[in-house]
Amino acid sequence: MTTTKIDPIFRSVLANRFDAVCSEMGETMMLTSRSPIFSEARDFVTAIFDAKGRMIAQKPYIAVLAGALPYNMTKLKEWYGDDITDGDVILTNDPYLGGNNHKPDFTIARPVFKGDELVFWAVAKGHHVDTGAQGVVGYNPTAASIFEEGLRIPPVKLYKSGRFNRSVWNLILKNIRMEFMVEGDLNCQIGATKVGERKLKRSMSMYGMDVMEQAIEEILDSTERHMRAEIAKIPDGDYEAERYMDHDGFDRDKMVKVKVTVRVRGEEITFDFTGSDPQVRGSINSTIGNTFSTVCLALFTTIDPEIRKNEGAMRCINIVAPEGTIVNCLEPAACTSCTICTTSTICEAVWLALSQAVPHLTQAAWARWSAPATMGFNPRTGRLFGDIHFMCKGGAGATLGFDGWDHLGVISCAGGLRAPDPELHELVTPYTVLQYEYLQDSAGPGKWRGGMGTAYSWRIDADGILSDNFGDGLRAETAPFGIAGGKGANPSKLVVRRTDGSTEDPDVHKYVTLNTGDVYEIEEAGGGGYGDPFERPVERVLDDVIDGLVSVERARTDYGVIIEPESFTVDAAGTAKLRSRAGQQG
Amino acid sequence: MGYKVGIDVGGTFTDFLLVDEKGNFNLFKTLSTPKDPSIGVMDGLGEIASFLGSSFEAFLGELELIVHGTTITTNAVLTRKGGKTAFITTKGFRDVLNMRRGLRDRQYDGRYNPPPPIVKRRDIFTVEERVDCQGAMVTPLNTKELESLIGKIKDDGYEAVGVSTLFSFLNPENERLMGSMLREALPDKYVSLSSEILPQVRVYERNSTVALNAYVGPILSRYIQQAQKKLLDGGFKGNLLIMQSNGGVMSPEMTSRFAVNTLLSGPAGGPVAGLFFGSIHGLGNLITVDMGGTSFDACLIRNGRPAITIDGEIGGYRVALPTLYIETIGAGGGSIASVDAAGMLQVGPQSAGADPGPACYGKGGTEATVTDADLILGYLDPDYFHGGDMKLDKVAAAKAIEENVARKLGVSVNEAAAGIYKMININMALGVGLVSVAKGYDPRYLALVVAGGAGPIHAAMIAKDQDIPLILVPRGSSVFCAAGMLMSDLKHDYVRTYAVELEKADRNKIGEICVELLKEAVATLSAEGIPEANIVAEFKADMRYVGQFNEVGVSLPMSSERVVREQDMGYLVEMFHQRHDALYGYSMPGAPTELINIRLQAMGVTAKPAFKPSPNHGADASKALKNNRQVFFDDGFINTPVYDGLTLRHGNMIFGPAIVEEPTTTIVVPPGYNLACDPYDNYLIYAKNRKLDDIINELKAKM
Repeated sequence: MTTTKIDPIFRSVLANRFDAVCSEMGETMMLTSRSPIFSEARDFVTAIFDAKGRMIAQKPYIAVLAGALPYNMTKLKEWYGDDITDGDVILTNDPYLGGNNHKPDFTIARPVFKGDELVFWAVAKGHHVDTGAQGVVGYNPTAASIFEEGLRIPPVKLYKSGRFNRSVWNLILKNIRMEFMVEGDLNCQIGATKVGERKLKRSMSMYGMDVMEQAIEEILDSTERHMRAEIAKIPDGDYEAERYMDHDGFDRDKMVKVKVTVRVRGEEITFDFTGSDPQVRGSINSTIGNTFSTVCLALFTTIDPEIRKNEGAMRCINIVAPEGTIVNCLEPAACTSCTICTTSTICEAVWLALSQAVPHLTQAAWARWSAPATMGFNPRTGRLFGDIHFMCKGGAGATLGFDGWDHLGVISCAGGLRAPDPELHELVTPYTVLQYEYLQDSAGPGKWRGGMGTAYSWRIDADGILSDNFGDGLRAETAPFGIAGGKGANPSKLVVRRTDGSTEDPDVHKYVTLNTGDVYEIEEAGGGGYGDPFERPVERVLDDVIDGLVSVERARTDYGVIIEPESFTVDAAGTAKLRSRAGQQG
Repeated sequence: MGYKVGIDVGGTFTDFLLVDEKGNFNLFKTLSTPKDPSIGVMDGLGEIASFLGSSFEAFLGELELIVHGTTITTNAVLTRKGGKTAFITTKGFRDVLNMRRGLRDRQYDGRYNPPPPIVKRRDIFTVEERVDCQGAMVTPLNTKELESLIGKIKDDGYEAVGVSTLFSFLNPENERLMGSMLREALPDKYVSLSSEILPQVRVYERNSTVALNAYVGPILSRYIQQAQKKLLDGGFKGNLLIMQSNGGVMSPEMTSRFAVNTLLSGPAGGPVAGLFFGSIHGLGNLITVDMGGTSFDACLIRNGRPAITIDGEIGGYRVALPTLYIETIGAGGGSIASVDAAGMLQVGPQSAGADPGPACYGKGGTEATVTDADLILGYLDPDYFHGGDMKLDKVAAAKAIEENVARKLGVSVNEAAAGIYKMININMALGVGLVSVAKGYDPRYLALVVAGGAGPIHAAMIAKDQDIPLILVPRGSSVFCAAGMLMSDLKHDYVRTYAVELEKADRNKIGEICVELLKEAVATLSAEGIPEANIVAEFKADMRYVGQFNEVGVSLPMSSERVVREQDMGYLVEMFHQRHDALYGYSMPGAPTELINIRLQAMGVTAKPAFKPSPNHGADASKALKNNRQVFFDDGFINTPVYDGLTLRHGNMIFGPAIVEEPTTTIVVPPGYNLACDPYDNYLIYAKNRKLDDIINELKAKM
């Protein structure tokens, strides 16, 4: 092969093509999936890898899934070596043998061949509604190892040289309660990779593989240069931060720590997690793939968001994550909740560390996830159902110059998670939604305030429904923080009201059985604020009060703005006095 | 003499297409008057009258039909200048509208604002009422609560009220009661109910559609009334019809009720016009594209029917009524070329617009744009842009490309310009792919109909990329949309949600719903003056596999008496599996399916203006040859003949490489392509190694 420099224009054209292929694969998944988790919540990612296992392009609907894909590919290559042929379709959900984040995500990889030569991989990965675990939609709060977290699928071939492997297919589906949904979603993933293969082959026939290979090198190298230039903008130094999770579901009094030191030296950046807690019994252990993916997410949401998320960008990110800790757990640690609890916590720790270096670029914390997955039998439809209550989206953190977005959801999804439709939700589940609105005073105050959290409650219309809140953020220590003088938001609150008037605290990582007439109420947190709330323009505080997002009382205490509650007139003199007094104290 | 006029009110210009009884047509343009668009319209009609040597009144008296496209509502939403709107919904669900399903497009970017709300939270009210998911009344409307709300709406200067409650599509009782109380107490307010506008499952999508309807309803009603009055006062006795987003037209009365149906009507004339030009050659499978200064629109037409979507969007809000499925991407003559931090060439979606516009306009623009590249590559003549009305500055274009692109990539200005041309073509080709390949249709069996000033410069490259065998460029392609309006039929969409597993579905109930929908449609179309014989009804079922969350629209078979027979249910399932397979690469025969919605598109077929064919003048195009110039193709500049489009006639043939110039558009015929003029003086472009008749026959065979 020649090493002549490839036409810079061709390189750009090809990069666009790869992005388009990933989008078309994603479009296919969204339109054909059966579980609401794919089609409504878009909890999946599509990507293209080259023969060397390098990620060339990706479309992350759920950001935190994407960064772990390189670990998937490394494991697949280790597992199969040269035993990969045209027409193979490989599946894995194994966090250790398959490099997955956690088991509910099924990764489908299809090798793409040019003649006898493996040239690309088309990959689609998404969260399945059931993994056959004892738990709820894959979440099992009593799991103390991956063996209790459902079916373990090491890399297996669903198709071998184009031949359908019915034995494996049946083995998997017969271990799963919601067989017809999982079957549909597996088909939809296989279909997406087929679309990817078709598109890649077309590009190959248009351009030829030789030039494409050279262009790929340049795409990756140029992304690396872009990334290095961005890292160089962060002042050199060591920046430390710690964040906690509520607990692991076993030792309910012990918060679990993530510690990070972000070390910046010129164009190099290292995330050193030395000092984080050892791995725990419960399911909040993060696999190395998930930790790496989260670090990418935390960094990409801080620096230039336009950077292409490919192997070139990831080259510059170094991770030190000691084995056997909460951020690099070893087999057989349970890990199903890592994409939610641990991802939020790692991301917060990285942001908090980076806020010391580049506060103007950093976000305040987003609301953590705190709502249950539920599963059971729906007498209205005569079918089993499983659902994650994705309406419960909290607020995003504020940034310099911008309020956080309302009702945007957990950072793992970075705003890509689509809230389900309440009517379709009721048509599938034995529930009646009672409230689905913004939660007053939920946003962390700031010159730019956090996004609004959500008040969400529903009545249960069937018996024996199992639920598990697989998130966290119910404590002051784990509630969203503000930065640059901005205030944090209140923690989330959950309660189950029984028909006899009693209440139950669902806490986190705990089974709660729901029966007819029970009401489940959730106050999902808002996001953290940015900058001193006393500097927020009075008109904007007044707007929030008129819109009922901020109460008159909190306008005074949080923002130093005195508003007459009937007429919404601002006491200008009183406000000036209150705000200046605070200034003098500060 | 009876005339018909299509009027397309754009942001800058208002286009008029006048057609007389003999099929002669003329184009006119006036400046738009955004404050009161009817002024610009009347000015234009006045101009036409004086062109015809007739008085304004006499001309209006001879005018049989005006089809009016307006972007007045579109602009109101984009600039958030709609009427002050109150929105009422079920208690507990105040924010579903503004939550917008909790999405942010740019996932990694925490530094931008969400779209501003069309109805602020302070203007959103909730009332106690509830229907359950099976349509049963759980909580009747709390009328006291609504009464006190009515008092507030009266006092606080609202112009419109939108109402959408949970599951009202299953049981509209509460919503209708709200509607009658509101209308009675507030006769001067514009009241819009979801059960009247869009009785269909999905709360946000329904709320958003109703809120938008209320938001623009008063503005549009006022405008239509003013325009109607001015026309009547001027002596107009003909028919006034308004263009809709679904590619059809509707009466002023329906327009006032369904104002939301005009929001995406701007580009809707294009596909209809495309269909006409395709039909000249018997072609019904087409992709119409329109490339303007800032955006590129692509629409698929299958078997003579443009593709429809219920996922329309404007200003960050959803329009869930059926609209033409037009994929719009940020690619146009003004698209800006730049090199990003990774050294990658990017073209668009940012645009230099019309002011300052491309660097070559000489209005102070310094960014390199697609038009600058087209000029450098010789596709555009600096002295014949807009027929010579505007001189293009080649030096400024070269400078902009040198500074913004060539230097950063380490290539020459010509190479950079070629790169810009290639990139924008790829971006547009991907847009074409989105409406065809991604929807399961093979572009090798489609013809590309190209409109817009910049489109025909790029069309051949788009077609090449997507393996499209035939390109059709209509004469005067820049007023494509106005032409389409005159060809549009009256078109109304109706929907009822009937969510049921197909096995358990009651065929008689499906039939009854169809009859009910048709009755509604016939009543509306009769009121619009359409005899029943001219009504075409197309029923569709939205189907999916049980548990899926997205539906596929399939034709609903039935007898001519609107009875759904046993075998029809079998066909329905079979067609659903087939369509699912074509769309998504798999189907699951035997798996349980469910029905969600039954839809009716009812068309009132109108008389179309006849355009006059011209006699065949033979293949020799030498009369039209103007000169030669250096034009870039593939790897270098080639001495290329330039033809005058206005002189080309039916039957003339041109062999690429060649350039054809019309005053408002330029057609590029690359080496390896031929161009032929059809009986209406439109251009057909196709690969040299094929015979035109073979291509057309093959396209017809695949219909």
